[in-house]
Amino acid sequence: MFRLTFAQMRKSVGKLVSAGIAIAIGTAFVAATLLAGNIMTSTSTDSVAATLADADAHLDLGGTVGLAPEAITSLDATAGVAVVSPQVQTYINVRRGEREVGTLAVSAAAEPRLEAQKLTSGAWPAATNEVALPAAVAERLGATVSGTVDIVGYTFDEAKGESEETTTTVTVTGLLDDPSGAYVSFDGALVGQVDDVLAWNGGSLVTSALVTLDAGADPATVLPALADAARAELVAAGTSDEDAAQVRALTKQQYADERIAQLSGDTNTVMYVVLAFGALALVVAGLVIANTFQVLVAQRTRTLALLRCVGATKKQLRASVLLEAGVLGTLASLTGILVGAIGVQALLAVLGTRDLGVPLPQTIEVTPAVVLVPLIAGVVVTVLAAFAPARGATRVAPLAALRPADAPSVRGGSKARLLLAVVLTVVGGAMLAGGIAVANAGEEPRPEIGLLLGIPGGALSFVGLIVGSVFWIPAVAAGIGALLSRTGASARLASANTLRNPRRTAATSTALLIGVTLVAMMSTGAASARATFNDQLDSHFAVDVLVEASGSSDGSGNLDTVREKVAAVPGVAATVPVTSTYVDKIELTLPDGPVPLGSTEVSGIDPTAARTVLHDPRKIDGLEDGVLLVDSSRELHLAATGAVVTRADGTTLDLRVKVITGGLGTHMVTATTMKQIAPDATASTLFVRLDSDNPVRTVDDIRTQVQDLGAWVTGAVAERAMFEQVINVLLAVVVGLLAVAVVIALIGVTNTLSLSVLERQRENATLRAIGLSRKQLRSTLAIEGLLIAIVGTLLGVVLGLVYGWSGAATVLGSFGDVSYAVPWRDIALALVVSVVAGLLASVLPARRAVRTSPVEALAVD
Amino acid sequence: MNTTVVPGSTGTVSARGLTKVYGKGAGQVVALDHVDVDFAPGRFTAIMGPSGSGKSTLMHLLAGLDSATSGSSRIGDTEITALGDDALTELRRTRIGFVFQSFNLLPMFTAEQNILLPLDLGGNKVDKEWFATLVQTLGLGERLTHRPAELSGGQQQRVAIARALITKPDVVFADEPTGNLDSRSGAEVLSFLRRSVRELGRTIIMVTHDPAAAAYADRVVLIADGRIAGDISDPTPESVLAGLDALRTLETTPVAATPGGGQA
Ligand SMILES: Nc1ncnc2c1ncn2[C@@H]1O[C@H](COP(=O)(O)OP(=O)(O)OP(=O)(O)O)[C@@H](O)[C@H]1O
Ligand SMILES: [Mg+2]
Repeated sequence: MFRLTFAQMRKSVGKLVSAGIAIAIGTAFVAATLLAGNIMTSTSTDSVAATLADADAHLDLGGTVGLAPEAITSLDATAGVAVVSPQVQTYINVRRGEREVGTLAVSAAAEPRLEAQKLTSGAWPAATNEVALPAAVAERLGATVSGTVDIVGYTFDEAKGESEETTTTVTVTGLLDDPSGAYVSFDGALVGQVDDVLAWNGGSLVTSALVTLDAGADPATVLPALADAARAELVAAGTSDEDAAQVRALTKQQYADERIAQLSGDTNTVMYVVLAFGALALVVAGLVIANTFQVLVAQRTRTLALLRCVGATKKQLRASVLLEAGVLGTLASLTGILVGAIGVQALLAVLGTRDLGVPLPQTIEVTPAVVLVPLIAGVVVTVLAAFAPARGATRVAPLAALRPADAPSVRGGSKARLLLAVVLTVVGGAMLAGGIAVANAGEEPRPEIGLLLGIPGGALSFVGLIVGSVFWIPAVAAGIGALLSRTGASARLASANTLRNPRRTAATSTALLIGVTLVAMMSTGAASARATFNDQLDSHFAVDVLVEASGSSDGSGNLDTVREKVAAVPGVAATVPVTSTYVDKIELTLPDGPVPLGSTEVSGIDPTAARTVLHDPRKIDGLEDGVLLVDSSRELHLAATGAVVTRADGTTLDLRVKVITGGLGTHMVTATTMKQIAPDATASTLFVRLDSDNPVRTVDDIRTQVQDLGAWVTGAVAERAMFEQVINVLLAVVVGLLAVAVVIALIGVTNTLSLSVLERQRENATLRAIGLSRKQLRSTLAIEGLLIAIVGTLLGVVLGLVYGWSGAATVLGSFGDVSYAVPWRDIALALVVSVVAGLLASVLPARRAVRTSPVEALAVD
Repeated sequence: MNTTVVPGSTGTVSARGLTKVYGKGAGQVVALDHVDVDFAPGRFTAIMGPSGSGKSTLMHLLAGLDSATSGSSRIGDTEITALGDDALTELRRTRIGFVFQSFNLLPMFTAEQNILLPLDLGGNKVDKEWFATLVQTLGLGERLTHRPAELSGGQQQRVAIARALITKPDVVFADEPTGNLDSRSGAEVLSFLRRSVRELGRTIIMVTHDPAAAAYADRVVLIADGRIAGDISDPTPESVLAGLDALRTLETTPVAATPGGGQA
């Protein structure tokens, strides 16, 4: 049987290779993820170990109040212990002039060799109020050796019961570098005397220390003794025995391992999420494999039947197919793992040449998991995918050997499959709808319950749709094919061919559909979230940036200066001054008599200029000279026919009224009318419109410009930009990961087309003989590829929109009105990619097809 | 229905010094060796000969399906051996019909779609009257909406004949059209072929092994060892058998074959 299996594999090498590529991509992805996870772990292990520098052990008094530094130091009396160096850390701010930088402060060690950082210039701090600064911090502050900086710490004032800022001026004695990445998350740490660092955070006790041992001392006996000594000190100082029992002395390795166990929780979560995408890629690859084996078995019907005739059992045939899958899975997975490993190693080599501040390992670390997990996953997926085709092989009747080999007819799906698909889709859909309903339930929206219901519901309905794809995808393909058929004979042939094997077409399109649906869902969800938040930011913040001079309506003297400076900042498109004043009283004239308005603030703006800065010009709809624009949602006010404004000096002014809901939040008049209301009021606020690529930076620039003038800057645009950036980065990462699945699916399209070409060699030759030109044959295949790709993509986009909107409705419903956005650009991109890929997928198979001479049609096999 | 019409438009199919050599060096096989032969329009000619004598090769070269090593073949004024792939495709689509031993219908199309396929490929209009004539002559009226899988072998071959004739080609080539049929269906197909020549004025060149099949033709060209080895007019099964027997004696004592004279 082995010999036969391998002989058959050799015959089908081409088909197996393209199926193998699909699996290899999936396993490469998984292997690379695991390797990257290892690198993250080992990098953080190194960085944790680096904090111990050349110490042999770590003494941890965690869980106790701690000991005074002197008490810790004197623990070196323990036999075998050389030095015990107290270790304190606290977060502080370092200030120099206007600039202030937050950083970590650590205590200086008893010996320089216990310092995790290296001195690049100057000396270690030797006396109180001396510090060594990380070079990066010093640079940002403009601090130099022998200069001074202020340490801003907080001490808890018992009497007042609150924290108080304390400032200490210290001298910089040296600059530091952190080559081992011990404090990589802070650009290095400031180093000061133990007592100083304790003082900055208002404490006096130490709970951690670095330990060195005498040469030849055995940690196994010395460390317990050290811990006992520390406990004795603690108990003597009044700590309970119970608390003192928590003292531990660990070797460097033990300490690092323990810390990593705590830290790597996060690393692992990230890795598991990425691995989920790898699993998805493997599932898609599985679909491609299943297709390939289906065709292999169909093409070997005659051989299989012949084997049955000469006495092979069903079991043997099944075993042969599964063995083939196992061999393919193993070879492809190993290839994938190798590619993944080479890829990560190459990435390391590239990153190694950049200064990332993290000491990355030189080479990847191949653990058993890195090889075994993708290998097992790849083999299992391949063998599972081959299961149905293997069963098909056993169904071949010995008689089939005697019948002429016609193109294999492939059945559609079974009734059971249809039932399962419908049940999954309906139940899942109902759960999804229920989730949306719960999340938007008028009075008490429960988005978390909505998600608990909606996520499994969405997943279930999607699985249902995929299980049922053999029923509905061919129907859709038929519809699109019928449309295409009008364009000519090639298209008619192509669409007829696509429908010949509904199961294969469905599987190929489905592979693509899975990836595209998820990509479209993510981008729809992101677009909807963006649109929803933008709408809300728009209604809360009508303008990009608001600059208020001196914070009072009186600080007006300098608004012109402010405006000049702001307008000069690059990225500022327009600035418009706004004048505000409080009048004595505003009364609306209503049919039932005058009604006073609650707020008496009136703001004046030039309507034409205002339209250049407002995001939504409707906010000042109807603003013209002689009109008071009242921002009110009260029904009562809508009937107002006029308004009477009582000025500060008691005189009144009659104005027409326009009531608007969701305006600028204050009553507006034109600048001209403002002059009539308060002739002396001058502008105090600036509306600013940006056209900057980097709004966050522009807002910062504006702030820097006007800070000295005492103006106050608020930038909704900065918030929006930050928010968009977060969404965009997340989206890019997710879409990038999903792209792997899409690529595999596109390989599947090529694969399916090559298989079709092989299967239809004689048919194509017949067509050539009766007058199909090479060009027509090529375009037939191109249209077939296009059809498969377009169907998968279109349906994926539609499903993605539905799921994306459902997700947005569930998550965002409680925030207010959800904007259901359509990510047109992404959809267009997906369609273009699929059209191009569908066409490209046909290139190689078509080349093969046109090479076949029509003479073969006449050959009797 | 018109009888014995010889349309003037169709040309003679002819070969001059047609040679086909497969392979190179020691493994070289001369499948056709300087063949000169003419096939008159409006006639039903059978090509016979022992297995491996070069019948199929001759047909492929005459139909422009394969390229000749040397010599020329032409249909009417068209020198086939000089045409490129696109021109050959166009020629096959419009001026040549094929009937294959294993029918070679497209499984996903109905009988009617299969028949109209050559017109469809060329984007040409259907001659309704001609289509009706073919369907009636071949007795396919009831079967037009069926797919090949739902047709018997004989019916499939009749559909294939209709497909070959739909473009009113100058010549129809048939390679063992009855090879996959039982003798009754075979006889049916052969009489249809003969009727298409007699009644519809077509030209048919058929390769066959069966002397009874060859007897349906107006003329039998005998071929042996890649050369024309005989020519029988108005054959009967007996005269064909006699001719084949003569070939066998010829084979044992190789003599320069009598070139099959271009007779009309
Ligand atoms: N593609 C090919 N490559 C090499 N030799 C070939 C090829 N096709 C045919 N031949 C050889 O050319 C010779 C003529 O073959 P051809 O198929 O024309 O014979 P035939 O008369 O049709 O035989 P049959 O009655 O068995 O169909 C044979 O010797 C055959 O082996
Ligand atoms: Mg032959």
